[in-house]
Amino acid sequence: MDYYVAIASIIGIHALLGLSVYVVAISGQMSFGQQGFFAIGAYLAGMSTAMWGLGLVPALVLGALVAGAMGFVVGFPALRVRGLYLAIATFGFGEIVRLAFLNVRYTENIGGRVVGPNGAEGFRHVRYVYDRGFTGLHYLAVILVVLVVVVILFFLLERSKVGAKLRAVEEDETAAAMIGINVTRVKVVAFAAAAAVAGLGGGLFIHYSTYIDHDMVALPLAIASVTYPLLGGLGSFVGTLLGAIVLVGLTEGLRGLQGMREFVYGGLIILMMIFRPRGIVDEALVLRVKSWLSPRAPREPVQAP
Amino acid sequence: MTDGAILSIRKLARHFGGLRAVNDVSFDVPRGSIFALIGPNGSGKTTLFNVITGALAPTAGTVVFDGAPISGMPTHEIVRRGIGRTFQNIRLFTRMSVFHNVWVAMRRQPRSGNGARSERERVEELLALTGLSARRDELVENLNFGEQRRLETARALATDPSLLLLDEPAAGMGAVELARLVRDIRRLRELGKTIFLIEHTMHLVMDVADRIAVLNFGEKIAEGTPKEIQADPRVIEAYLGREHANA
Repeated sequence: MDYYVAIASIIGIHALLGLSVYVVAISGQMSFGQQGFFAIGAYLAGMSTAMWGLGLVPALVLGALVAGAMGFVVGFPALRVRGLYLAIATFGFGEIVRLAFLNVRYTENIGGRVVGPNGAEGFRHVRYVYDRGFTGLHYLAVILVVLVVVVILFFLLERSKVGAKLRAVEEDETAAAMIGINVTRVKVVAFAAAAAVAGLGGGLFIHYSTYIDHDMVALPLAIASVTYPLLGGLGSFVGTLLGAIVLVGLTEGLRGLQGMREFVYGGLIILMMIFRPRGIVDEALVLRVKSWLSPRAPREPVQAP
Repeated sequence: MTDGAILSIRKLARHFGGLRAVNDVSFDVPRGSIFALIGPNGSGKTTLFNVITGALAPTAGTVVFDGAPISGMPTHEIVRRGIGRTFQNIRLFTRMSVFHNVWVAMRRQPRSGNGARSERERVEELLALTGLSARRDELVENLNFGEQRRLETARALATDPSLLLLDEPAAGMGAVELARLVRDIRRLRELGKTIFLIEHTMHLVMDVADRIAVLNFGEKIAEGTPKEIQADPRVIEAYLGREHANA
């Protein structure tokens, strides 16, 4: 039972990370740096509860807000470049964050334990949740509640004009500007929002695992977070959720794959790029499902010109 | 100001290194008119559109729209002031439905009492105007060429422009579609839009335009009514060569 609770918790947390990449992707960018925002959210939320005496909810909010603010600051210069250059720039940011936490020491001795970011030792003893008698199952419920809130926001985003504007920018920045969209603003706001979602995932993660270190927010996490939306599909956020469930389930469930995770994820990305570049849940599929769901409009014959 | 020029181009230049794509061009587009810009391939017409819409900064000169200089402004700001545009190579959002292509461009209307139509109703109106109502839920890739051009026009109209720039709207069209285009352009003028088009299809231009400017090698070589342009030896020379002009 505990085992399945653990897998479900990881799926929930990684889904947030995948959704973060998804927001960036549907505004036409690709980021390999969302694990940096994840780390910022994790360290900040961890310090909030373990050292500063904040409750879990303010800690998660603070982690998400600071990650989002960092996204805003990083977004302005980073989004001047595109494609491969942006992928490298964002990965560079992720590495800067990782190396910063490898070197930062800010600890307190609390009840005989060294608590706080402690360089290569990582940040241990973030026990707020379990000290208050939560079981793994209780905390899974917390993760799922947060995920549901985020999913509702994504559902609203996809139906809103803001969501459509993101996709317009993704497809053609010149045409998007020509219908009155401020392309730079759309991209930076999307990047900042994505960073906040990743930071939220980080805050949930450190309270789940009770600890984090620099090695956990390195390249493999970047690849995993990009794989969920690319495999699941960019037509709807549902694809990212699907991608996280399938991929985490697969690699956690099939123990034999553990050591080969990056191999499997990398291979899947390449296969998807070749055979289904917009992922499993792509725009055509979304449109087809929508027309099934709304029998309101029977197909009219094509009108003569 | 209901009369006079909606758009004034003054001594406008855009150079690319040593290439003078547009050089010292001046003209006025009268409000409520159908104004055509013609010229051989590579004469600088699309470059001029790109400068007007802010996609390119001018090397020199100014663009005045509705009495205010707009050169140097970002594109989205120029669009908000009332300039819409279609592209020579169609640039629709291919991963969206027909409806969403127009909806995403829809300009927010100021709040106005009970009679105000909803945004969706106004999208449907534009689709009806451009004859695309039956295709509203299709992906763009399922539209034929003429429909795609009309959808681009509908999308541009959604930004509620007072000046609509059409970049070669007749390119690749057959006779039936051309006839419809002429009707559509006149209809738009009746709706109060000023139309400024680039076009190669001469009989369309001569048929529909009130006034024509001719570019050759980035410079304006003539301007006038269709009759004046047809008789202008410099225009004939630019298109056909010197011996025809003298004949």
